Amino acid sequence: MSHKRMSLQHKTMFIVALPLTIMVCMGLYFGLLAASKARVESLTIEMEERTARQAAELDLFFSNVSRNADNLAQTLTALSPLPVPSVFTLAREVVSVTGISSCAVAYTVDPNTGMALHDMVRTRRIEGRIAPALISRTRLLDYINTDWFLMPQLAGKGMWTDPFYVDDLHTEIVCYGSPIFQEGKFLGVAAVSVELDSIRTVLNSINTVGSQLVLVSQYGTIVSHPDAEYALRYTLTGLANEHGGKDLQQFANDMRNLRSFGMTRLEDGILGDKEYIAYAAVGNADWVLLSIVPEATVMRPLQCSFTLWVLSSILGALCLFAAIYLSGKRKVVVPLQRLTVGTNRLARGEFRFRVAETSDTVELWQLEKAFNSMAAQLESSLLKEIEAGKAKSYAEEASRAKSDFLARMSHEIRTPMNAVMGFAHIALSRDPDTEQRNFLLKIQSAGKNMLSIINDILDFSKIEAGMLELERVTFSLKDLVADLYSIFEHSAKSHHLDFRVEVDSSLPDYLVGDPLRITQVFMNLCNNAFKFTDQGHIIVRFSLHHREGSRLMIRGSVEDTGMGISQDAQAKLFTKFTQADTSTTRRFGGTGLGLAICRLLAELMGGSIALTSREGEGSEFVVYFTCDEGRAQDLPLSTTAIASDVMDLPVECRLEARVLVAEDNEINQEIIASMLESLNIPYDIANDGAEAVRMVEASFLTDHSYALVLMDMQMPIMDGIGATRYLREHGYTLPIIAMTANALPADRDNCLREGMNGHIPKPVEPMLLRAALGYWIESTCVRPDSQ
Amino acid sequence: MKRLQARYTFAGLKSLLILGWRGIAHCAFTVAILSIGAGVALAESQGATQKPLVRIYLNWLPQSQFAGYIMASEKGFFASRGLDVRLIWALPGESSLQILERGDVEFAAARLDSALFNRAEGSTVVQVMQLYQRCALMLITRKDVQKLEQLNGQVVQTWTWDSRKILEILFKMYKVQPSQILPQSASLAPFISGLVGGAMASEFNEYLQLMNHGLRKDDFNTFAFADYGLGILGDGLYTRQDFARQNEQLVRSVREAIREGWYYAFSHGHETAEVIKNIAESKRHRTNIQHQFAMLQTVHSLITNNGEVPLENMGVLREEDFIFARDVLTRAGYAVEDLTLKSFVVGP
Repeated sequence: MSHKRMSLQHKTMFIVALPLTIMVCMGLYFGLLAASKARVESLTIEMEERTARQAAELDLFFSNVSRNADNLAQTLTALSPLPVPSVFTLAREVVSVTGISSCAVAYTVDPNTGMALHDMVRTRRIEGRIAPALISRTRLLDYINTDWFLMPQLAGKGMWTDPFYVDDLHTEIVCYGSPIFQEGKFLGVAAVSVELDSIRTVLNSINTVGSQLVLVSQYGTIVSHPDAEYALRYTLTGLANEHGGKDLQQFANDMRNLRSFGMTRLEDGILGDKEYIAYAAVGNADWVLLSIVPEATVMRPLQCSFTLWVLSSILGALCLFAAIYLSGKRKVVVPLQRLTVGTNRLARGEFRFRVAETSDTVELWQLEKAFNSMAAQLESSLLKEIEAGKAKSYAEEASRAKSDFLARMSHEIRTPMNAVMGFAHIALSRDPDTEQRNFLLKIQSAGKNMLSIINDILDFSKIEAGMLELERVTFSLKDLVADLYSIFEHSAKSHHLDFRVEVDSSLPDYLVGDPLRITQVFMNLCNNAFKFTDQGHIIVRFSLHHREGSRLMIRGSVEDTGMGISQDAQAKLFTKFTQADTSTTRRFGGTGLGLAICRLLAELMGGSIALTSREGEGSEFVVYFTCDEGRAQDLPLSTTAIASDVMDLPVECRLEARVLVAEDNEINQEIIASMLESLNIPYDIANDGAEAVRMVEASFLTDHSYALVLMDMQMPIMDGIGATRYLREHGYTLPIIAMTANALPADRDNCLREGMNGHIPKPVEPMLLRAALGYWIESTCVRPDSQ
Repeated sequence: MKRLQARYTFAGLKSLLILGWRGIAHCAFTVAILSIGAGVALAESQGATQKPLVRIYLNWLPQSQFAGYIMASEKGFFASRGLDVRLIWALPGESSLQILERGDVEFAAARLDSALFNRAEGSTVVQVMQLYQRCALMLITRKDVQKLEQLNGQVVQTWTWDSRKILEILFKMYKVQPSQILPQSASLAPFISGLVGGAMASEFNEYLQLMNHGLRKDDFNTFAFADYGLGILGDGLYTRQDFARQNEQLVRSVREAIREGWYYAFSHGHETAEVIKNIAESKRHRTNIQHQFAMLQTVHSLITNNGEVPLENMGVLREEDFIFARDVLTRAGYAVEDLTLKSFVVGP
């Protein structure tokens, strides 16, 4: 799972920006809300007042008109019947009043005759001139069903008609009729008309900046509308039905019989959009004046100021943000970046680097101080560690150099030792006299001691250098014990000592561990015991100390009845190059490495070594080591193979088995040649690896291919490893036995890994050579008796 | 004819001088009729080969009530049949059948009851088409007038004299004695103002107008004539008996053109409403498309009797409807009992 990391810088921005943005948004929202509310409230008051004022002006206009008609009716009521010229005079006066376009006086029908009582008188303003007209009684019948005549008659008072179109005048008018009564009897009507254009002129004269006026008659007819198409063609309800807005329908209903003024907001209004509508009754005519302002118009100044406000808010927020950000960066991010740089420089090893303790933030200043303190501590401890590391490195280098030196020394010593031991062996085999034999045996003994010393030194060096790796193989404890016994059996007999090896029955037969090193430890202890014991017994014991699962802690001990060891000597006995006393060396020889190696090996095997001893009574060395419980089926085959002696093979076998010796050293060539000749085994010599390869290849082209190759390692042109690798890669499977002064276990492992079949260290132990030759030649030999 | 023309011309000029706007409008109508009449006379005198002029008098303002006639004229259905038809628009006042009877027009639209009233008074008008298949007449009353009897002593308005006759029959049947029966114009202001107790209305016009004026159904009451035993069928087309006899083919062509006009109007409702609105505007009548469209829909339900009569049967007067109307008038004392369907109807 991956985590996206955000820098403190960005995080700071985020932490600052988010609350700021929310604050700005909330501020804007509530600000807008408050501003729009205030705007609507002020608009409401303003529009209501203005509309009421406009309605009042209209009302004044209508009142003036209706008053003139009423006055005329009252005059006629008082003076009727008046002669026609007098009526004309009165009507003319009425028409001279501003706004009135015509005046008519009409009398009702005589119920007996069906005729009007008088002719109808009408005066009309036509192009500024007042034109009189007399309508005969017969034609008056056409007028008595008109609203201006009928309605005052029925109402008994003055009435305004709904506006209507007059064909002959091509104009729209509205009439006001006032009834003429005489002694309670209806006589007729005095009516005046007003052209709608006059009303519209009045409307236009009223300041309506920002709003549009709609005039609705008492019957819901739209008298005046910004879109002339609607005037007299629609009622407010009809318009609402067509627009389909429920709120407009409700509004149209509310406007019926309106007596007051107010304001409302419609979603789908009269002009077809969201709008605010102020309304006021025009009392005299029962009309309604609507003053409409689209919401967009209302909000436009608000939007402008809102835009300005938003911009200034954003600018303010940005400034605030920048201030917080820069301050945060200077006070937090920059010191932290300095600390990061410091940490990186420390990581690169600049332990002397310190950050400036300049932060004015307490926590960061403390962090800077802590950083510097840590750097100082680190510098001190790391310098010490580096010095210690260097010392260790030098020591390891020295140890490695020593090991290399010893390995080289081992090789270089073994080569001449091979000559010494080899020629001693050859000389012994040539039937020397007694004195010569004695000399030769002493040469051999001295050589063996020298080899032992070399092996001890090498082992110790390897263990100390940590280069010794223990094997983990399954082995038979009984075999190990038997081998140990067989090694020392002869010595025990010759020294008249009671030598025994006892194995506790609780121990399993098979163990997993390093049998060679176990043998090495107990051989060393036995060697010591035999060295220092003149009489009595030497007993080797193996028992189970404890078990943890399959892991066993084994207790092995070597008890003797020798001279014993003093308490002082015991304390330093297991340190290298130390013996109980210097006289020991002089008396018994030895390097003083044996017990140190035993201790190290015991420790490597997860155990320890201890000593119990009393001077003059004897000693008991106890070794604890761990092994795992093993199984018989896991035993390696090599340990089960039975070594043969080539001398046990028939002469024919030996004669037919030709051996190739790859050896560059002439002395060694001579020694091995002598050994092979003494064994009646034919051989060829190759002076280097390349020659050995050629000779093997050549032999396979004849009937006498080599039975095996004895291969030296270090040779000119091609070494033994290279030659072996070549032969194996080209399909040659004949046995190749390393015969080399590279005698270390790692050398042996390397040889086997590269395809060799065995390893004989130099100086060549003749018995070992005979066993190896016997084993490999036997496998290719066809015995005569088997035919 | 020339003398008649001269008399009407004189009267028109006189009206222009001394009459009011109403009178002038009336004169204009008269002049128009006379002018058309003069055109016919001129054509007859010159023996020209022009198409014969056919005048159809429609008994109200241009509105969807006459959509079939208008669309037949506008879409050339008359012309395609070799007819030169002029639609004559009425003003409230004189009965259309009286104008027809006078010979001022060749055809006139009128309700079935109007035709029977005229026949009772000796008129020779015959029916060419019976368009409306049910009665659209109703009496609207103020909210407080919930029964016909409550009109006693109230003022009631009605249209022309034939409308007054059918109203009087209703009042007679239900023993209603209003204080006055006043003439009714196109305006519903007296009714809306509550100045009259009742007024005549048609289902397709005045009723819709009241709704548009913001009144709701429960703001007033309606008394449909059909519900009170006076469901005499509505609009039809009439001509004079002699004219029909002499112009059988022409009458047939007029009938077919009008039928085609109605088909077109019903299948092109919005276009028809717009055409009618424009014609009304040209005749100084203020209206709007929405109202005309709503009216057209109502007229459709009248012509098809709410879907019971297929449009293919348009124009046919069923005998039972005729007999019903004749019997109503007979019972009311009008001398139409001898009138037969065959003598009343021309054509199929």
